[in-house]
Amino acid sequence: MGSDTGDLLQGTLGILVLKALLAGPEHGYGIARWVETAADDVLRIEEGSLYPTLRRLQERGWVTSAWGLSENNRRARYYTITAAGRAHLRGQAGVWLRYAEAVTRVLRTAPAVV
Amino acid sequence: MRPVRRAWAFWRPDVAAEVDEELAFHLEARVAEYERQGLTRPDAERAARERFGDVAVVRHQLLTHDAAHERRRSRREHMHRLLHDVRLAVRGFRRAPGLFATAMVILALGIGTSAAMFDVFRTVLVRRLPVVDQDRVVVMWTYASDPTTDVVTGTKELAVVRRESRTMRAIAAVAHWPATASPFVDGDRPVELNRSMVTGSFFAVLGARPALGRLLAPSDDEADGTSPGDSPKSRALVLSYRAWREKFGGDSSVIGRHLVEPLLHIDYTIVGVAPPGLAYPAGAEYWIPMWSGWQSTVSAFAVARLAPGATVDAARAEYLAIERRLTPRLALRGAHAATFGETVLGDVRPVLALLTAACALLLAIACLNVGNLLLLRASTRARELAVRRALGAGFGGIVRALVAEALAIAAAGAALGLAVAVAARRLLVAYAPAKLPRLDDVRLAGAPVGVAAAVAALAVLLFGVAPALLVARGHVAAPLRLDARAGSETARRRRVRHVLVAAQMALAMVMLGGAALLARSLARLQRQDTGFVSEHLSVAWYSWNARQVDSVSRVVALGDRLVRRVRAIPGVTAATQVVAPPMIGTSFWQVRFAIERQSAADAATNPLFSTEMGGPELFATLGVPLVRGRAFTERDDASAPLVAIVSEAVARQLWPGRDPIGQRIRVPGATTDGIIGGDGWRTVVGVAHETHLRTLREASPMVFLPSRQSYWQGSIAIRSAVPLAALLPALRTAGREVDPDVALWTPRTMDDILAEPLAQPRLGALLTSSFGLAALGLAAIGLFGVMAALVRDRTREFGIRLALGAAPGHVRLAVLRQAAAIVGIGAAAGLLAALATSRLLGALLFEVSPADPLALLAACALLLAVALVAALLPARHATRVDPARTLRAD
Repeated sequence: MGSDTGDLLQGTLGILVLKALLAGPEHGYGIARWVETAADDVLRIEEGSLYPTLRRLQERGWVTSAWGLSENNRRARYYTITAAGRAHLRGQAGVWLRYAEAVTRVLRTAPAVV
Repeated sequence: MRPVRRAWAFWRPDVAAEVDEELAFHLEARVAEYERQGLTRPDAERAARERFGDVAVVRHQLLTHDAAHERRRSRREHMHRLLHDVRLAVRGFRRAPGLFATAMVILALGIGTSAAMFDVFRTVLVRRLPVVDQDRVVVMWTYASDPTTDVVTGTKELAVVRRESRTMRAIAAVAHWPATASPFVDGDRPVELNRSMVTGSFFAVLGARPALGRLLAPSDDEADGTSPGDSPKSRALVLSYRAWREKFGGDSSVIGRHLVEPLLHIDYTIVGVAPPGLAYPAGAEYWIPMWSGWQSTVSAFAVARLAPGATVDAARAEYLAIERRLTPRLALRGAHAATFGETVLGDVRPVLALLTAACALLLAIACLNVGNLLLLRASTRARELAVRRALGAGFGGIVRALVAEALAIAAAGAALGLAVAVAARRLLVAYAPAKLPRLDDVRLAGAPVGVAAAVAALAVLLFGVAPALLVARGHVAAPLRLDARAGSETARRRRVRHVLVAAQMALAMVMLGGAALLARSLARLQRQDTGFVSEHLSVAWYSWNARQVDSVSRVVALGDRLVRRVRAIPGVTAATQVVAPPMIGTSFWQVRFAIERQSAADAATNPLFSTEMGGPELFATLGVPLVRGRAFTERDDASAPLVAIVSEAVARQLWPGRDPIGQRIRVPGATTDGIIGGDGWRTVVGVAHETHLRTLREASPMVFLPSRQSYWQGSIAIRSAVPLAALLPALRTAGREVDPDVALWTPRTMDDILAEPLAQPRLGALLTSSFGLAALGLAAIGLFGVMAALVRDRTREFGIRLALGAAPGHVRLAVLRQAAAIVGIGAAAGLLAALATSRLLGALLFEVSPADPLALLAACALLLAVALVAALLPARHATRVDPARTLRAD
């Protein structure tokens, strides 16, 4: 849980949010929780930055939002991924995976550091 | 409440509340999570905040973003709604294009004409003149008999007044004659300008600022010499703004240019251009200084700036007291005094006020008319609105749509009206009398158009939206249940429409009545017996080299030769010298003659008479019959005994009950340098019929002198069998043959000359008649509209009546009776209003009573005739109803 485990890059957070929304509409807290769980608490997002990111995604037309009721019957703003959002996620995920693979390969070459 | 709330739903949602709610949800969910993990509430809250980061910063970011986003969204939505409403309105227009085109054109005419007229009114009468505090400048003169025509103030006395006065801070003098045309040579181009002569302090007293160059200064008076022409030096001249624009093309290089007056060969230098809107005396196109050498001999108006606290009356009293003391022999009866504003604008106020009032009435009629159209539409769309409401349109939405529609009509009307205003203003300025002041200053300003358009928009809203709202507010289903049989116009709305039409009829009656009075007055003026024969009469003005022909006797001799030569031109049937063209006004060559056996004091109280001077054919040329005695002959020259001919009125006034023939008169104080014969006794040898030689409206009592025993200054009156245009080459040649330096200046036919005094009455009559006819046309359209609606609504009834055997004439009569009630009430009210208001026309009417029955009845008859036609068409339609069809209609 150390702070060095990953201040996420801006664009990366967007990808994670879109990925979180693939499962269905979710409110901001739900998205934060999903990222937390999915990343086994390794990726720690600063929750506050989640919201400006959501606004940005909305401006781009990748997500939409609407007020709805939460599990415990409270009003919450739910975000839904759009078709454009899915397409963007697919593209960005590919880029990210190839990039991560390349970095991993480099790090794995001898003399190994891990 | 609900529809209202829905109508206002485009109010911006509360951005801050939503951001706060979203963030609070997040934090509370996190706190709950931590509490589930076993933290105490305060610890959980602290941990949640830490996890979140800086709440205030995030909140601020979100607020900024959401507010901007919301603004963009609502703007888009508004645009969208507006487009929607406009689309609806346009669809409505397309469904009833005739109605909307009519409404638009009517509004445009009303707005356009009234805006143009308001604009002229405002520029000429309301806006301040280009002088400092026009109400503190007073124009004065003293008189011994008639306060309006008799000007006896000498400029010499003004110097004393200037020194002694406590009520006036500064005094200038303006030569009393009206601005009259005078010839100039500009390089090699002849140009004619209306002259006025002022003391150099004139512009300083007014506080006027030059548009270009400089205005006259007191030092310009001090140019040497005792009379113009004595000095070889060039003299200062200031152009009026209008003359500069129209005759010098607005060229700023005119400053320093020389103009030469060919009569006296005086050289002038243009030193400046006066500000726009300044032309005093009326029609002045240039001002030259009144040389100090001349000042003692010229009668003048005093133009004075009041001292602080002094009143016009105090200035008049003081002025009169000083003048009386200085010139006891003149036996002054009083002094005229008026502020500069009144003096300049007084003459045109009645006609402009009248035309503006006429335009306002026209605008009112236009509004009533459009209101009528829209009321009709409101009733036909009751069902449409009900259906729209029933289909779920909110009240607010319907309001918006109606307002959008009304504003679209008003805006279209205003836009078209602006074009009409521009055209109307151009026409007004082009056809206005030349001496209408300040026309160089008229520009179309936004304000009048705005006001007229606002009035129209209000009317459209009132008549277009209000009734529709009443319909829309009612129970949704009510109009739907309405059987078509019940008629689409409710009785109350129909009554309102009838009242509106009656009001239009009344207003049209007022306008037609006024127009008829002015038209009759104009006809009287045009048929005015002038006492001379204006057909085939022309006046030509010649100029010569004043360096060679430099004394009165030489000028008179030249005139004599010239007249003989002109008389010899084929087609010329008579010719004579005249001292001035007719209609020049009464203050020109006015002489206070003395008669025999009269003391100097008595002579000073004699009335002033206009003086005309001519040759043997003077009366033959003008066509003035002699009542007694003889005309001038070839023998009445400088060596013969001096003679004169007087008009009947002069004879009556100077020798009441006695025979004028053989009586003797003289021009006191005259010298042989100024007039041949000087102040010698002149024997009356004839009596001429009274004429209107000087002004059209009033007879001018006249004394006629033979040119060869008096004076001439270049004008020759010609009676000819051919038109003046055909004579021009011969007239030019005649001049050159007599003397190579003699040139023909301004040839004018008598019709041209008479057009000037008729210009203002003509404009007034023409405009009021066209406004009146437009008003009548509108009112007739309005009447036609309500009668057509009435017939349509009662189609079924008429059908049944016809089916039951009613005579078509009866049905027609039923319709006409209704129309007669509307028109009758309107016309009667209008006639009363016309009688009550026509007194205001008094100042404009010439020999016509403001209650002139002929004019008012003629106007009323015209109104009734047009109304009958407008009602007859729908009435005939009512009888053409096919009974079988109407019965089957539902």
